[in-house]
Formats: sequence, C-alpha cells, structure tokens
Amino acid sequence: MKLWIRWSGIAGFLALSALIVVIWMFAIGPLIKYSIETFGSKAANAKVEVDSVSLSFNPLGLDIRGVQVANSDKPMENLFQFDRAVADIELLPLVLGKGIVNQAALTGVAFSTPRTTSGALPDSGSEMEKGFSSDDAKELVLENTPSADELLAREPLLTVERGNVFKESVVKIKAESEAAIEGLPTQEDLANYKQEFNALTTGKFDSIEDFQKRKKEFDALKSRIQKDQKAISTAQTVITSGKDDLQSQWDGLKSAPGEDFDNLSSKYQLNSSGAANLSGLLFGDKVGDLSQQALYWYTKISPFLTSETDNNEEPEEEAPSRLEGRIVHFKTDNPLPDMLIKKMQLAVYLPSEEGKELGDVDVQIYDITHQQNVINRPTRVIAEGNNLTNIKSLDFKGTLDHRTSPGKDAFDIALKGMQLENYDVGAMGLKLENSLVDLDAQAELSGDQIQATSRALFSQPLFSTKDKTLVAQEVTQALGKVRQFDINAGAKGDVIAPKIDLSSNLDKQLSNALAERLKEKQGELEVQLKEKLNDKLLAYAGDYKDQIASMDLANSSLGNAQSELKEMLTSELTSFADQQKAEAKEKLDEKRKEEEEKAKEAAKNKLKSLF
Amino acid sequence: MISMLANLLKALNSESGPGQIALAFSLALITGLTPLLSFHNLLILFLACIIRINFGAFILGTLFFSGLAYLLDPIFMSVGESLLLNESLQTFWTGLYQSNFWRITEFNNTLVLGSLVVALVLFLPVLLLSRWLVTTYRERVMTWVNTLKITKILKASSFYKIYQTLAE
Repeated sequence: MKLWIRWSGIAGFLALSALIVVIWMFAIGPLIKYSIETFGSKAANAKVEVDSVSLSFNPLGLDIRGVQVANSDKPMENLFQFDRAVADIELLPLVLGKGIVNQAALTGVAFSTPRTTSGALPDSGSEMEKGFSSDDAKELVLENTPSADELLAREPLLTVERGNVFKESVVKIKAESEAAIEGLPTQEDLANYKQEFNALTTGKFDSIEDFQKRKKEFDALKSRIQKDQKAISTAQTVITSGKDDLQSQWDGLKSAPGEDFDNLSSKYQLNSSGAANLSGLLFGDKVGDLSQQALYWYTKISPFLTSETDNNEEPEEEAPSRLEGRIVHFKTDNPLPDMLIKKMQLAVYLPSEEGKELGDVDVQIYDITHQQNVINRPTRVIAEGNNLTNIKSLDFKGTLDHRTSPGKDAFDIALKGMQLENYDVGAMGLKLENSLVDLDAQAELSGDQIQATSRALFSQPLFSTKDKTLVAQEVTQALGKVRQFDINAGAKGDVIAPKIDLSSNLDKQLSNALAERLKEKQGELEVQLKEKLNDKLLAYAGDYKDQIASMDLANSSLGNAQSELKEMLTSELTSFADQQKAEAKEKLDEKRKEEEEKAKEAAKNKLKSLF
Repeated sequence: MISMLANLLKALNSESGPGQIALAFSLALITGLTPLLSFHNLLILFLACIIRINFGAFILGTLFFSGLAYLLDPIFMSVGESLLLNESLQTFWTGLYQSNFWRITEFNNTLVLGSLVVALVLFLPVLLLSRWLVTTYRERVMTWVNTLKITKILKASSFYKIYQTLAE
C-alpha cells in the first residue's frame, strides 16, 4: 500500500488548494469592488464608489461598506448611498457560479446627500433636459394677465382696422363729392339764368323773326339748364351714395370696440371659466416632475429584472453549444438562477428638514433576480413608514413580474395624514403653507405601456404667495376659501412619454371663488377697454361728423338749386305757351267778335227788313 | 514538451510498475475527455496527487485525450442528452437535481455527463490495454530497439543527453 500512496502528493494538493483559496480570498474583495464601481458607474452614468468589500466565512458572506452612487444630473449630490451592506451567500451555488444571497441588509441608506467631490464621469455631460418648470408656469400666468394698454397694444383691433378703412373712405368720398360739386352752377349762375330767362320770356314778340330768335336763345338756355340739372342730379347721387357708405361703415366702426372687447375677453379668458384649468397650471409641473422621477428609477431598475427567457422559451429548449454542452433543468423546489437575493432589508432615512428628523421607511425586497422565470416568482417590494414625524402611515407595495414577456409591474402606495408644510407650488409664487394630505396611487406597467392613477386629498389647505401680481393675489384670496380639495392624476400610454391627465375639484371651487372677483375685475377691465376703444372711435368720429355735415349741406344746397332750375324750366314753358295761346285766343276772340258784330248787324238788318 | 516526452520515455524505461503508468493514462482519460474545469476532475487530480502514478504520463495523457475530446464532443453530448432525457431515469436525475452538491458536479450538462460516462466505461479497458502495452514495450520493443543501430546513434545525440540529465 505504501508503494501506491504518495504522501507528499496529499501535502502538495492541500498546499495548492490552500493557495487557491487564499488568492481567492484576497482577490475576491477588490474584484467585487472593481465590478461594482465599473458596472455601477456605467449603469448610473455617474461615479459609483465603494470604500471596501470583504468576505466573511461563518456564514459565508460579503460585507460592502461605504457605497455612494452619484447623481448624473447633479454631480455634487449622491443619488443614494449606504453605509454598509451585509449579504449572506450560499457557498455551494457560488462554486457553480450562482450568486445566491439568502439575506442582505443595508444600513445607513440615504438619498440626495451632498458630495465633497464631483460625481460626474470624465466624459459625461450633466446637462439635464429642461422640462416645463414652475418658473415657466409663472411666466405663463403673468404673461396671460396683461394690462388694458398691453392688451390693446398687443392685439390687432377691429376698431383700428375699421377706423383706418373709414378714414380712407372719408377722404375718398370727400374727394369724389368735391369733384362732383366742382362743375355745378353757383348761386350767381342761377341768378343769371333767371335774369336771362326773364329777358327772354317777358315782352311781346315783335315779329316772327324776333320770336324765332328768342326761341333759339331760349332753347340754348334750356339746354344749359338741363345739363346743369343733370350734373346736379349726378352730384346728389354721389353725395347720397357716399353718405350711405359712410353711415354703413360708421355703424361697423361703432360696433368694433364691443367686438374687440369680446375677442380680448375670449382670448385671455377674462371670465370665470378661465380658472377651470388653474389646478393643472399650479400642480401640473409638479406631477410631471414626480412622474419623470418615478419613470427614471423604473427605467433604471427594469432592465435588470428582464428575464433571459423573456421570449417565453423553456430552459430545456436552449440551443446546444458545442464544447459547452447543454444544461438540462429538472423540477426543483430550490431553483438556482445566476443571481438571486432572496430578501433584502433596508431602512431609508428620510432627509431631515431644519435639523428635524422625519423618520425612516423600512423596505423589504424579495426575490431580486434577472431570471424570475427560473425561480418562478416575481420580485416584490414592501415598504412601511416607521416613526414618521409628519406622516401618520405610509405603505408601499410593488410587484415586478418579468416571468413572461412583456413584463407586468404593479405598484400601490397609500399615504395617510401627511402634514405638508411650506410646499412650493411653483406657479404664481404660490406656497402651500400647511395642509393634511392623504394619497392613494396605483400604477401598472406592461412592456412599454403604463397606466397609473392617483388621488391626493388635501385638507385644510393654507396658501400664500410672494408674488405681487394681481392674478397671484386674487388666486390666493380665492384659495383661502377652499377647505378641501383633491388632485386626481393619471398617466397612460408610452412609458417614456405618457399622456398625463390632471383633474381636481379645486378647479370648480376656484372657479366659483374666482368668479365674483373675476367678474369685478372683468368689469373694471371692460370699462378701461371700452374707454380706450371709444377714445379711438372718437378720433374717427370727428372726420365723420364734419364730412356728413358738409355732405348734408351740399345735398341741401343742390336740392334747392335743382328745384329752382326745375321751376325755371317749368315756368318758362308755361309762359311761352300761354303767350301763344293768348295771342291766338285774342285773334280768335277778335275774329269771333267781328263775326258776331257782323251777325248782329245782319240780324238787325234782317229784322229791319221784316218790319 | 520535450522534457515531458523525455519523462514519459523515462517512465516507460524505468523501474516504475506498468500498472502505475497504465493508471496514469486511465485517469488522464477522464480529465482529458471531460471538460477540464469540472468538479469530478478535482477528485481525479486529488487521486493523481496521492496515488503513486507517473505524473508525466498523466499530464501527457490529459493533453492527448483533450485533443481527442474536441473531435468526440458531439458524440459525448448526444450520449449525455439521451441519458438526461431518458424517461426511466427522470426520477433519478430529478432526485440528484434537488441537491446543491450534485448540481455542482454539473451532471445535468449533456457534455459533462456524456463524456464522463464514456470515460468511465473506457476506464478499465484503457487501464488494461495500456498496462499490456507498457509490459509488451518493455519486454519486446525496448530490447529490440536497444539492439538497433539507430538507437545507438540516438544515444549519442543531444536529445539523449537531455533524457539522461532528467533521468538522473
């Protein structure tokens, strides 16, 4: 037997094994530290620093100390950090290359802590995509509440537009009227006509030649008078038409200030319905920020939970690889994924405010693995508030199920009796000084789709504002009358850019409360607007009145001239005929008298002859 | 490589028992045919260390059989596949699968199981065959070779000097 046993070989084997174990012991810590820092930095896009990693043997475990994960958006701030993580690792699976952690405990977990050195990676930009901020909302609000002068200066006004058209029309019609009047007979011309007419129509015709001569002159005069009469008629038509046109435009101009006011009122929501979306304006960006933060963390965590077999292929159907063989799995109560943390426990200390501790949140996470299909269990998160100063109770439940594709993740948070203080609303310098908040929120994510709802109930809110703007003051006064309000937020659609809906009964309450104040303010603004619009109107009214008066005068004058000319023409014709008739009648009368005299004489003579 | 080959020749020509050399080859059959970084090979290495076998023959045999394994891997995998998927063995494999120790052995890897089973099946034939070969070599070939003129020339060469140096 001695011939076959090589005792020195046993010693050599043990020495070699011990050497491997010692090297592994010393190397594994730095190797894990290097892995966490290198791959963690890549995942977080910022520096991940670990103070030390060491192994413990009874039980086998890892002791990681001083981990800081920098915030890629704020390099001088840690996203989170923890003082110590102790993990209890199973040895045999580790030999198989499976990291099975029965329990991991994190202590000293804190978020958003300041850093002494920058956490930015050498080649990473820290510029954050700028979203819609509260300052933007404030500017928007202020921008939407200009003064009457700003409104009038900024907006195209019908009053001005129609006024300018009216002014041009006045000039045009005035020129046309003057042109039409220019060639018309003057009073002097009319007097001359009358004189000429009298000369022609009075006195007897000496002879037929005289008559014919006067008749010729009379016809010429008549022709001139008729021509003037026609010109006067044309001028009257031009003036009447111009006057009608001006009057029509004037009516339009007079209604323009009213129409302008209606347009301005509608555009700038100078009515109570303008407050209908005020809660969205006040809280919309905050909800957006929170949603973005939640989605940021989700998108960071989610890839690590994706199963290798998200395509639903059974492990037995893996394609065989030459020289490596194929792993055949069997049913077991003790499945071994490549990495599994069966239970992780951590206490998150809420950041203190003004030296006042806010308490902590106990978080338990079960079955953390990227191969949920192997253990056939989803990752579960349970968090519970502990000794919270300003919150009565906080419960959070989350399930991240990536056993099938697409994965389905569900979150549920219930927060009761949170004392909210000095909450900077953002818009209009508004601050929620004090309020009691109850929050219920649920979210479901499947693939790249999200569906989330939340309801926050604010009781006994107390608002204040540092803004001196009229709108801010008025909104604050209106908010002072609100005893309780809720905010319902929902997100639906693509997980990267979901459609966020925000509604609140604050809208209705604010709407009612603001209605009265807005009505008063609307009245004031309306008066100011109307005054200023009327001022503009009056600037055009002077031209209008002068022109209309001038046209009326011209029209009246032309009417008189027309009447005189008509009278002259009528009178002349009548006198001339009468003269001819009178002459004929006189001749006939003389002739008849002669005949009668002759007949009388004949009768006398006949009678004389009889007697 | 030359040193290893010299060691082998030395072992063949030395007073080492034919069984020691044959056992070295047989153990090398397992480490060579199966994936080297397997749990059972740790056991084989341990045996190779504590049993007085010719270590040079063991290493050379491992290298030789590893080369052969590259050609035979598909056969090993199909053997392992047929065994692991055999209906009548499912209870057995499932029983083993419940233990972390047996899973460390990677018995559920088609290549590991197939190559190990083939190596174990061939272990005894290889042991006997190699023992017979060593004995025959010493009795017939070595005596005959020593009478050859070329052997005498080789003994005068630098290769033989190295061999001699290592033999001392």
